[in-house]
Amino acid sequence: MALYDTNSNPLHEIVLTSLALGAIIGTSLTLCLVQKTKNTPLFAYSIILCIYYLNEFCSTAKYQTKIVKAKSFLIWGNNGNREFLLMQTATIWEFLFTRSLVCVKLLHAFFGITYKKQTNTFSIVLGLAMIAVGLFIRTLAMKTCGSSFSHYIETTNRKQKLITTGIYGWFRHPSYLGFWLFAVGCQVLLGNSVGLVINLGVLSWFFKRRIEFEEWFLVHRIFGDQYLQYRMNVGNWIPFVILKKDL
Amino acid sequence: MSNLHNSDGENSYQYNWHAQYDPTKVDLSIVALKSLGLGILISVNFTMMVLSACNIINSSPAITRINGYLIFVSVFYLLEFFSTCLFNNSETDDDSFILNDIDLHIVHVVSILEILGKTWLFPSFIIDFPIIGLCVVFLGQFSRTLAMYTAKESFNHYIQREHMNKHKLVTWGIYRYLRHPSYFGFFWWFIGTQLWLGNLAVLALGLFKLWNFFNYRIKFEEKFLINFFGQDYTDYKSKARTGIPFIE
Repeated sequence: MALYDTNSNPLHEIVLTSLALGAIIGTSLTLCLVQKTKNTPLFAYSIILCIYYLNEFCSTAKYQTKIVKAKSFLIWGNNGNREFLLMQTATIWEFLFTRSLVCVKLLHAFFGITYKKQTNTFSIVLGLAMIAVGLFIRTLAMKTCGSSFSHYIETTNRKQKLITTGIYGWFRHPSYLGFWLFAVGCQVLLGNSVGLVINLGVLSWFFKRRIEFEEWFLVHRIFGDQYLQYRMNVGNWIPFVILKKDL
Repeated sequence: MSNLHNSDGENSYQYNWHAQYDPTKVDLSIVALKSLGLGILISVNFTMMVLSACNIINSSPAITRINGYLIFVSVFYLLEFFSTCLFNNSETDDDSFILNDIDLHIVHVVSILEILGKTWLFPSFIIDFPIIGLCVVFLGQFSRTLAMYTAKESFNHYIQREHMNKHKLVTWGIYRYLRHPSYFGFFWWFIGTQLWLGNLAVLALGLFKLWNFFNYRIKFEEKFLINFFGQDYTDYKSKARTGIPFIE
């Protein structure tokens, strides 16, 4: 059994993707350091996004070696990538729009509001903290789970071990919690009010559906009472995600 | 007719890449991290050059040369990896970048120190050859990458002591004119980078060490090649040169 499938991992694709991420990080870092402008949080956001993608690939390559592939960066070729890209585009658009003269004029003309978007240091620090904790929790979840982790919900009847130790002793779905903290943290970092609300709504809906679906399988197809017991002992802890009591 | 056309069209888009590398020798996270680091290095230096050209930042000429130098170096490492993984896939490992070569990093550090030291100690003493340096760097890089492309499976970053079936005597393309075009390429690439920086001391010392290294290595390597290919190689040797001065 090979370590991983080499045909799913063309090295030139991996190198080019990492190179592009590095180029974005380097450019954003240089622009951040050269001039402190009102767009600095946006450069920080692009750096963080690249770190997120790279972390997804490296964590998969390191902790779930068997399932790694060139698409494990989660930038393209996977379910949900287009939606995530759309969300990022909206995020950037809101950041730029709320700092533009057009926005000031519109609010003044229609609502009589004199508006000036201020950079909020607390918001930036809180956002960075959420992002850092989120990435840490997600990476730790992938490490703890080892080969049991997947970017896709497993629906086969393979023999699997229920992980209840480490980070899984604190949270039932730490990789989802990590992603939630990361995504919401980005909105807090940028000070995007609308993006924050939309993210909270979309993520609540998405994780509720996904977790309920996943836990149904974990109970009825794989672990049975063992998982019910685990579910009673360990909380979900993802804010605003209210799950059904019965499966 | 229509089906045939569609079939042809479909075939032309088919992704025919097939991996031959050994997964136990390629740690994908290391490959990704090395690529990331090189990407950061290239873009930081490129951005600094652009900002300097636009007068947004005030870089001294020495800093701009160092920016260019670091781009040359990063591109060199990347092309080493790309050439290996595209043209000699079975030999790829996670240091096909050759980033683990400490001697090269020492050369980079000393090169940067010389140009900075020169600028600080002798600010009015400016002798450099940026255009010539740039052209020689391109010549060297082009030769080396073309050599790796032409040799394909017969190329290796390490001297081979055993003759493998996939090893053929390559005498076409750039090998028609140069016996060791990858060494030729590296030799002149190094000269080009130092001319670009205007580093006379590193150029002189580096030339001395590099010439001796290639002189020894080529003599050593050609013993094996004559062993592998016999008279064919001897005949080839009389037609093609090394391209490195004073190495026959």
